Amino acid sequence: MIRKTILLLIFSVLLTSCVPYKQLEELGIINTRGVDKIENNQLETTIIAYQFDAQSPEITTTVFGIGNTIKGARENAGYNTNFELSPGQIRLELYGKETAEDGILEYLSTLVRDARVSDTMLVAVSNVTAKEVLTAGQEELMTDVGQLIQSLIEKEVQEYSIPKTSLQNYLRIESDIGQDPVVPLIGLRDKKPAIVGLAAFQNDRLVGELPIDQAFLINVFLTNTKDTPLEITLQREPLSDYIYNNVSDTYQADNPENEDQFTILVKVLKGQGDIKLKNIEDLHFEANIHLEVDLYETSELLSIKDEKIASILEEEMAKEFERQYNVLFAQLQEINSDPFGFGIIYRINKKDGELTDTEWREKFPNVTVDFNVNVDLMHYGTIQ
Amino acid sequence: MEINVNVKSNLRIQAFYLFFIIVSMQIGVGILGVPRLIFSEAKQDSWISILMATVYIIIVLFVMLLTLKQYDNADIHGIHLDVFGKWLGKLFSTVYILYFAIALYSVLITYIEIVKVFVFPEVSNFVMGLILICLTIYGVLGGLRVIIGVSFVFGVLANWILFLLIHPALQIDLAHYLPLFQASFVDLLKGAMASSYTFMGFEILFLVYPFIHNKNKVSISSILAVTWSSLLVLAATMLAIGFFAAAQLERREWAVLVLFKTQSFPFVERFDYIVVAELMMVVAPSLLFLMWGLTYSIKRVYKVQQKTTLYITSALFLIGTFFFEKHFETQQVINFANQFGLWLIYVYPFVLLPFVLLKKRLNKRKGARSS
Repeated sequence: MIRKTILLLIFSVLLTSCVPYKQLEELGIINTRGVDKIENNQLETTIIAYQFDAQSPEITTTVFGIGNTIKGARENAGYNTNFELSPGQIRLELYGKETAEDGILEYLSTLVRDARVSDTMLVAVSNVTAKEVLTAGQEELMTDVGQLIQSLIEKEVQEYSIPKTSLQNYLRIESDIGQDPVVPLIGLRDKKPAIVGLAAFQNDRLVGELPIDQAFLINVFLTNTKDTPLEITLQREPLSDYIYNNVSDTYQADNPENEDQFTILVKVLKGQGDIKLKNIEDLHFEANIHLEVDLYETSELLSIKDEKIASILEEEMAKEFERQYNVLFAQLQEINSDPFGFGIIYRINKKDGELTDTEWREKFPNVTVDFNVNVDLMHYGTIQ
Repeated sequence: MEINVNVKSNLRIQAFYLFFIIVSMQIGVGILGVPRLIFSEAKQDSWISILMATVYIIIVLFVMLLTLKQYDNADIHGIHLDVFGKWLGKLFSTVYILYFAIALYSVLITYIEIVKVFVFPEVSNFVMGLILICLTIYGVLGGLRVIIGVSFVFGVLANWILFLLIHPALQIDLAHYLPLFQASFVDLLKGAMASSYTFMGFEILFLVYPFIHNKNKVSISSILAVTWSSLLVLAATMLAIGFFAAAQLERREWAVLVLFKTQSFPFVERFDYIVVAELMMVVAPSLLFLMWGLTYSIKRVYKVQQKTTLYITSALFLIGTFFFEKHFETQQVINFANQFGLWLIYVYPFVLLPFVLLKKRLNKRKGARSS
């Protein structure tokens, strides 16, 4: 028994030498990578890597590399650092605007090909160059910019404010015929990186920028959303009778300098979207959206005394959401990008169930959709 | 060589273990890549293909059992001897031996390739081969009962991996399964054919049948085993189809392994590493049974000591891992094993059965005349 145990221990020690080892202190673990296309079809990568160097006070190091391929650029960047750059822990891949406009699939495919790269990494696009965002931010902030952008995105994804944007999600939606991916657009605000919008793709090419508050409208169709804070501006007129005037102590809204708008902040407890094909010849769709919301804040004092006011509020919200959907959809048709996945619904209702990408690109601008939003106001807090 | 195998009663096993024997033989490296193969033929109707394959396999199982029931306690080599005589029988048995060798070799190099692609790109084939083959020798030296023990323990323990598929299962897109019933019958058949390599392994029944104690339970045990394997393959395929877009799935090798890549926990970031290691527990019983089948068959047919062939073939396999390092070469070996097995496992039992029945009738007539 003892002899066997000793033998087992000896073997388990000896066998570990059979596989190549990597020492943590010798590795530069790439955390964030920015990719930009520069002249002559070459790529410039901006790599933020962790280094475990006792002599350096910084945990991260930023290196640049130029090459014809992503991996080539990494090798090139390797000349600048005494660490072996390892891609297994890339958490964020950021593409420059111009790069994304030319298509990013070839850069993503290297990530898939290499089985050691994680599929859960985030994909994002910068509204300038990736290098600018990553370096300008790094100078301004003392923290690691890559980490910062990741947390920004992850936080918003967790709130369902923006759709999931992991590598796997991006690739799946990109490969699905009849649906296009959207990813967060990272820009600099006060010289600090921030999510400034949503990048709409046509296949793998960046074709447009959408305002960030519309990301939620798209996400409702991609997943069942929960607990999303949302600011929404309504028409003031139908509600004006119930707005409390603190000066005159009446419900006589005096409508001072400010316009005809009334803004509320709600938390969307539940959001569901569902697309139905109504008429396959006319490409007529119906999109039903159901939202359950809690009221958190109003821009003026609003009194919700009875059900009537609640239902007016619900109706106004629904109207506003429908308006926003129509604006968004018109914009998407213009750039011919279909993040909602109308094409998928069209495909599965087609007789042979087959759809080519070019076919859908031709059809998508002629699609008509009725957006029906149904809002339920669930709670409004502790005051009426 | 005797037609019937004389197995001492203390060496016999319960039919219950046949379930684990067949499942561990069927489920191996094949299940990782099979969704792509079936999908590229039958598209979203792949599930029909798998069901068709299952039904066909159950029919083959019945034919095999019917063949075996014509004898008291024979295995495939004894049947060959009885039906085809000494020389032709030996020839057919040798085909079986070759099949075990090629199947073992294909499992070995596929697993090594997966380890190289997913975990250690720098590791040498020889080292991986040495470790796997040492394990195989060690197990086979223990004899059939030890191997069955391994398949039972590993077969139970490895199932926790299935829980890791819950996360990808929640992310599937139901639209990928629609519209239903688009594939033609030919496509469905092709899809069923594509699953043949994965489903191979139940032919071990031809060898272990004499070792089973309660023969009346053999059919229920083996059918349950085949059903369970089919359910696993079905689940893996449906998950992969739902999870990946069509264009993605058609290009992904080992799509099932990639399913494990898409989740991470605070304590384990990458589950595919763990799954590749865990896969050793799935592959080891296959290797053990194939090696046992190989050496035992040689012993039965050529009367060579099992230990001698074990060491010689192990050395040959180890040398063999040097060759076929390229992916497409590995694929060629798998394809060859697939073609070989397709005829031997899925078609040959139907050919053998009439011969056996004919021989039995002739024997009876002879017996009646002599008495």
